[in-house]
Amino acid sequence: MTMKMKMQRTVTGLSLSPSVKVKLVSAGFQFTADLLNLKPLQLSKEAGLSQQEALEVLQAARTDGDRAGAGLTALELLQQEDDIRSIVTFCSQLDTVLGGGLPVGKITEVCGAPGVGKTQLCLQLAVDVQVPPCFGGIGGQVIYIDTEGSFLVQRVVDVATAVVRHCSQLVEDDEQQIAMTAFTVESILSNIFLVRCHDYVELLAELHLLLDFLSNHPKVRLLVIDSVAFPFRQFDNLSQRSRLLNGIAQQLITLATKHCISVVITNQMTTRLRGGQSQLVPALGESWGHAPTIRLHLYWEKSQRLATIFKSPGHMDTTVQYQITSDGFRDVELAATKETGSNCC
Amino acid sequence: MVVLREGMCPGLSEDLVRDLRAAGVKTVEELVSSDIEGLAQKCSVSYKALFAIRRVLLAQHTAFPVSGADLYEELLSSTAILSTGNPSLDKLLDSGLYTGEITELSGGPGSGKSQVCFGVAVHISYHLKQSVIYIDTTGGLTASRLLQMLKAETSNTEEQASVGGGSVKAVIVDSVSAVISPLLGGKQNEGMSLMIQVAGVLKTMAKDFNVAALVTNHVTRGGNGEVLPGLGASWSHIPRTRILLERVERAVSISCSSLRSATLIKSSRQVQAALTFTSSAAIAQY
Amino acid sequence: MNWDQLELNPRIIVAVKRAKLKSISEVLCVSGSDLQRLTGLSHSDVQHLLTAVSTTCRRHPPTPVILLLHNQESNLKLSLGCRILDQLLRGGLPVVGVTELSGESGAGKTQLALQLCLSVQYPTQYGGLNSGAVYVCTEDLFPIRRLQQLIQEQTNLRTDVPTDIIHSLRFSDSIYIEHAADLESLQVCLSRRIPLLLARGLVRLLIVDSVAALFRSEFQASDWLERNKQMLAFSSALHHLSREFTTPVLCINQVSDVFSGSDDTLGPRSSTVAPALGLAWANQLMVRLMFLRLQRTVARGDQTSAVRRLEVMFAPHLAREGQDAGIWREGVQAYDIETMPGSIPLSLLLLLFLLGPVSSETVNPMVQDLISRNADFATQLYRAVASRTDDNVLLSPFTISVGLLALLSASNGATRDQLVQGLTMTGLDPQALPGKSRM
Repeated sequence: MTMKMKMQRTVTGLSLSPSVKVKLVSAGFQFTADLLNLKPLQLSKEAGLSQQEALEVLQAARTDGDRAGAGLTALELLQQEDDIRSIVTFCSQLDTVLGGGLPVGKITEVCGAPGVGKTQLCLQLAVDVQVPPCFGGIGGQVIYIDTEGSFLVQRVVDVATAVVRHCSQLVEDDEQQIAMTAFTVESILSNIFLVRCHDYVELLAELHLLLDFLSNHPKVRLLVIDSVAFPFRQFDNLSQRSRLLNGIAQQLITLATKHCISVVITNQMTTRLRGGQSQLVPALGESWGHAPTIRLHLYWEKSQRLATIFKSPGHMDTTVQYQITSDGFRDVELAATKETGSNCC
Repeated sequence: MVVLREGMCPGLSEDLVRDLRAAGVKTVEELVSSDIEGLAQKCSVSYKALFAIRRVLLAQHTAFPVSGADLYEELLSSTAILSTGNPSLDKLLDSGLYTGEITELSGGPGSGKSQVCFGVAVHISYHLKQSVIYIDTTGGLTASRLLQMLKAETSNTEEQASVGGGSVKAVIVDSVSAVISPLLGGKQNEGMSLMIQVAGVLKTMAKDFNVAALVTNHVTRGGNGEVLPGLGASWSHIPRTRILLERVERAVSISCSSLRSATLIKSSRQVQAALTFTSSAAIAQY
Repeated sequence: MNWDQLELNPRIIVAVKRAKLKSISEVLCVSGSDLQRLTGLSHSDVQHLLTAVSTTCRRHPPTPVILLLHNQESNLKLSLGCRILDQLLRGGLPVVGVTELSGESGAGKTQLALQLCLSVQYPTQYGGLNSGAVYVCTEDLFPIRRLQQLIQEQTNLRTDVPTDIIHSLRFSDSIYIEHAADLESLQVCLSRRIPLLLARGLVRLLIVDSVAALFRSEFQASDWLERNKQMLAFSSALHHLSREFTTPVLCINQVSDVFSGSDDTLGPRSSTVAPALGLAWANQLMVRLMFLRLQRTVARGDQTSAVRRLEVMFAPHLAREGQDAGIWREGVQAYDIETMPGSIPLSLLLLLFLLGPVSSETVNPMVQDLISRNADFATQLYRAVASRTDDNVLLSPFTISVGLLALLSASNGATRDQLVQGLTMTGLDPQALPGKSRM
């Protein structure tokens, strides 16, 4: 008996509606192997299913093996990772500790108090991802989901102008010269696709439709959601909220890995009282913390802005200093950084 | 409830299966419990042939009683204990991951669950020369980090390229809660049944293929603010051993502390214990 | 939700109706596998359903930002009425978004708010939005005299606008004033009356002065969670109005002292005070401005003013900078700007006429107390009346209170208690009441 069970997949594990599953099981079909040799008509008679249902069951059983997707060895994964460049942040210290910038294919969460620079980092990344490959960028497009209404075109123009100016100063060969003609503020703006979502229902709907959009726009390499916390701020039913958030997390992971895009989400901070002490923690609760692969925490310390990686499978907990200038998210000049270069513990 | 099919045993031909169906006998269960004599007449097949079929089917589908001594023997011969590569964690687990069992790591974000998983994967493939199946549901698996850990073990690039190779000895699921928790909660029943199904498959797989299953789980907070592993009470019976990983918090709110603590919260072998380890020395090996 | 409108196979629509799913959000909030169980549909059918539902939810598909750049409407800014301060804010307040202005009392928050009420009425080429303003007072009465003064001085303030345009505007007719002393009346205001004004295009600026009063007075420390919830509901309402009607929202906030060494989560501070209401409120804002009153004074012509500093605490499009300004007769202005003197009287707005002690002779403390109680009654009466009508109100509270006092002297028992309470005279010596009120 146990020997037989080994290789087989149970019927209940198929993605079918529960009533169909009940009918199949009560008709004696336990494993997908039991179904494979049947004709639709036969099955519908034996299990008391409609013909339509029987057809679906058979399709599900036959395609089941393909859905799992082929496994990947770590070596292949490593080669894949090497092939994809990261998105630079224009803050070289942060790039260094992140190993070259924000990784593509992963979810990164940026959390911090209002005004510390979360939106600035998002806007900066939305422009940086478009830097042409000959300048070390990845030349991708961006989907920007704005839930707070803080996406102001005026500011994007600032950041884009600064990046274009920076790149034009780097031009050395003909290839770069040609790339620069197509890399203008206008082209940057036309490659950022903006969606405004006003509540969580709209956000859920947009994420459902995003898969289609991504198939039609294969050049998209960055998805920004600024912020996730805002549409979920008013929620009485916390278990419902964490369930929906977990669902969003799964959707984002699928988007990130399938379409090879970097997902950047921002989160607010909130005060939590624990043992009489108030602590600043990222909003949306403990279980949401698992959704992002990398968590960046931006905060103020006196008059310095600091960024800490405090969750990442591939990086040490490190703190670096950054600043927001009129050009965007930037390094702090070396003279000022002597104390906080990297005070990792 | 196994459906009768031709070729399941000698003598069970296509015609016979059809005749049996016509007589209302579709499954092994029904055949075994039916009146053979009457059935033989209905299907116009010899009593002897049908009896033989029944005997073979019975033999195929019956669970045999096993004596405790035999079980112990089998256990000794088949169970392997896979070291996690971290001596103190091995001690907590009573010398490592047991094959045929599910071990669970739970912990908050950034508590080092994935790091332990990476460490286990690297250790098993490099030191034990066995293969590992790593199921990544959160997109957290970074090969460069694996390479970094491997480089800490050996600097020989040739060795680095030729790790693993043996049979699959461990299945790592990181994380199991990420796929199940969107389905749980509210008026949702379907999620619960899927969760139990996943648990069943994991258990069968661990037992049948003799592999160690290592799963990760998130945490929730109880009424008094204490940390509890996620997925609720029904799931808590699934893993044989559960370990809770936590960041050792220093005075400041979100300090960059690399110290982590591991606490054994469920085990059939060990008394509850706790230890602390650092990310840099023990798991991360930077 | 009318499911028949969806472009779907009728079979799926029937299944959705049978499953008693009522709304789009219900469909989107149920997990895929449960949707299968509820409707009995197959996996692919459920995907079709989700796609169709999501499409109806979506306002517009992802738009390239370049299209927004040339969209005049979305790039509008509401001018503060001072060129230099506008430069600080890169044109003024963004038309969509909640802006907070905080500051100590006397820093000039209300002054700037009044100035915005006037500035919004100018045509768009002069930085206005060509519409009126609605001003929600939650603590003090609307400073009507100061508004009149500002209206008269507009030609001095707005030297950039031709005088005939200024004269053609009937400023006071386009400012709608609401009094909301508690959260409940504010809720009514935000959900019924203000949307009506906005929908009719009568106003395109919403000012709440101040938000702190609402959440400070009504909640004890133990009601922290409840307060947060109310605050979020309030801010959601503001966001909703701002988005739906592309209307700037300005919230005036008080400040509270911060002790050195305590949290600096919101960045370095240039003073010892921080905006009230904490992080939960700050998370809801797009732009945070602060008015500081400095120790210096500055003179211009015959006027002197304490120096104020308008600082940008945070905003997605602005740098953390400040600009010194003064408060003059004609309004808030950065003080190195040159203005031309002159004054032209304008029409008056008569909104509310409150009686106060007119005589200058010394009054005894008991009468003083009675007068202030009478004024309290008048305020309450006005709020009660004003919350039931959108028209201008003229009433004489003193006549009413005298009438009620006469009734009081002839009443007894529960009636008397209610009257005393209504007239805010609880705690006064009952014997003293009728006699003293005759004064």
